[in-house]
Amino acid sequence: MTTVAPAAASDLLSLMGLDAVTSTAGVVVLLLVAGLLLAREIARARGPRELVRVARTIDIIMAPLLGAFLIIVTSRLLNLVLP
Amino acid sequence: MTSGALGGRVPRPSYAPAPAVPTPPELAFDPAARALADRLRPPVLIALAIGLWAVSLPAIDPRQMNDLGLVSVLPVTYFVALAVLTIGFGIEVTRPELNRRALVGYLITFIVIVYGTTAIVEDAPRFAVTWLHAGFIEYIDRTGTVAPEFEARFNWPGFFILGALLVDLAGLDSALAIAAWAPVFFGLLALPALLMLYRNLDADERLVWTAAWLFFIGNWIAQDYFAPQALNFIFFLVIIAILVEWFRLPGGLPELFAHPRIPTRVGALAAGLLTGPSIPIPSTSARQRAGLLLVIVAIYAASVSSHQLTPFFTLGAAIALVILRHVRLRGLPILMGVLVTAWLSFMTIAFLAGHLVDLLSEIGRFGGTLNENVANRIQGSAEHQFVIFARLAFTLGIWGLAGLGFLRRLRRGSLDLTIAALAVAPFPFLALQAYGGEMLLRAYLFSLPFMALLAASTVQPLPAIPRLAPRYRAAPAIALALVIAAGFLVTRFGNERVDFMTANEHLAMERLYEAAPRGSLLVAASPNLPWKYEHLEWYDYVPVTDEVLVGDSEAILDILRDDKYPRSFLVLTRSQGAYADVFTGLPPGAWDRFVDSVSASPELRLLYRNADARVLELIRDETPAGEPAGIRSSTGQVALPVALPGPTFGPP
Repeated sequence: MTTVAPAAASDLLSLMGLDAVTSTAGVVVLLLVAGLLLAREIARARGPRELVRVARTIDIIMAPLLGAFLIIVTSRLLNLVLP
Repeated sequence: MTSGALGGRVPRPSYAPAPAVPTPPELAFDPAARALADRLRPPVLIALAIGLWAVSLPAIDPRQMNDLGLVSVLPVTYFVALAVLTIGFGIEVTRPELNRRALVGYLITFIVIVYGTTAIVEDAPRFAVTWLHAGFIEYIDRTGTVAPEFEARFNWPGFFILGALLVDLAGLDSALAIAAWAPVFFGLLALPALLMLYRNLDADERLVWTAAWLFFIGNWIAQDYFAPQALNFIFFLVIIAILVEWFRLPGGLPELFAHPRIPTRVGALAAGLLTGPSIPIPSTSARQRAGLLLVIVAIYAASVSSHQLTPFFTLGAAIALVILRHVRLRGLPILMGVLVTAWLSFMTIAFLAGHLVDLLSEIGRFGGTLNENVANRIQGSAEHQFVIFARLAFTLGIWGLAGLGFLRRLRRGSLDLTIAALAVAPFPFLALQAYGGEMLLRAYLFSLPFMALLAASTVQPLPAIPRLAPRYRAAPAIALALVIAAGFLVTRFGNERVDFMTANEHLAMERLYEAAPRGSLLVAASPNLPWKYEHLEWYDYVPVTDEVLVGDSEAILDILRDDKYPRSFLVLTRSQGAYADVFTGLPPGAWDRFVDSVSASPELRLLYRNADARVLELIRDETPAGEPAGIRSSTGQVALPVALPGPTFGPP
């Protein structure tokens, strides 16, 4: 079972290509990250109480999403540089 | 409150009402007469300046320019007009009661007179790159799409799409119809943004107005022509102005020093130094603040999609404001970073695929960048080298004044870290990119609003000068402004002979486009000419490099003989000759001899000729019908967005 996910990811990459996969996933992750960051800043702009309330929820998912976003961006750029 | 005595710790004035300069007793004559004189002076002086300027215009003949640029053909009345404006503004900004309408009037008149003169006296839009930008807009308007694989700048198409929309809405034939007035338009847009920005960075209203004047008189970079940079600079100003107006953090940096672990005396000293001017933050509702944030993000998104550099300068300024606890939106730089990274990695792949390695290799080459931006450009004719040195001196002078202003503010008991940080924030980018030798110019531009504010502090509040009667206290500052104004005309318009394009050249290109079938090769002796403004993708444009510019007709013929093309054309224009004269220091007559020599080639036939241009075609054994060229890469110097021409320290 533990090999199913990596194998599926590998198959997906080889079938669709890195660019297509990161484009699709990247757009989803980007929209989520940008939307959540915007929501967080709007909450900050509205006031400290609002920020505390919103940040409590957003911060839980923000870190992994930001990580995913960075991985996707890095892989896309490396794909251009590496032969 | 603003006695201005050097060395004294002067309490900060509040923003409104404006601090009054004490009226010298010797000026306290009949109050009614004085009030009348004060009321009449601005309209009279502004009308006088406009009148002198209007008289000057017919006397300005751009064709007579030498390598010093526009200043070489300006009549005395033009200089008098500028002096009248400068003196009038100087008097107005040091009067006991500020007349804001008059100050706005002076600034608007200055923008129109100085930034708008070329639009009137020249018969076609200046800058070769303006014509290229019109070509991008024409492409979008005609095809309804962009072509990032064909042209790098299409990877950031926001400005061009907006331009196409404007051309459509206004029913114009081409963006060229409005391009010449871009500097005036963008100058007038920058004015309110600057005033809003300044009044939130300093409480002294005289300083605010003086800084605005210094900005416009210090902006010799001239990146306000019809280009994405001009619009994006406005975006930059508006974003920073909104941040400091509505999202300022009360308390800010000094609050950090109220920490229990910091000794009270140290904390009090630091807090005293770092405490900014008492500027009220406008009261806003939570909904209004949310709306303002959305405005910032929308403008930044527009900037990300329309310019390569500006988003980074905006991000740098936002980071500086957050680090110094000047604004409350601490997460905004992260959001900005995500937006710009997303655009680069998803929307500019066509550009990055060919250039990422080169771009990465420039990181950390600070010395090389500086060399490329300054040292390599000190060449050309003797007069042009004078212009280059004038630009260097002017730039260092503005920065020197800013340094003096910073020290003067410090001496008055205020360590303005925010303004200083915003002023230096653009410079670290020099270590990341040379930007085709233009990064230093862009760094100057983005630091100028804040450098101008610091520089204004050298004369506002007016320093008390020993042995100078109080009534003449403004005189040294006005004299300094006059010197800067004179230098400005040399530095801003120093390349004008090259930047100047004529209707005759435009006409020659029209004839060329009529004659050249799709898929033809169009060759010029340099990239400086008004072409590419329509049917950009129909032809391959090849501007010959400097190495074969003059004296090597065979090299040009070799390029024209390329069998890949059904027909090959050579266009030689006045602007190319000016480029060769100014930037390579050709001896007088060399360009004309070169043109005659090429034209005399038996392999070429003359298609069209007027006073400013010749169009020649290579004679082939057979002249096949033109095949559609489709979208193809340019083989010349057009591919990189890093080679945007404009007034530079030297040849681009």
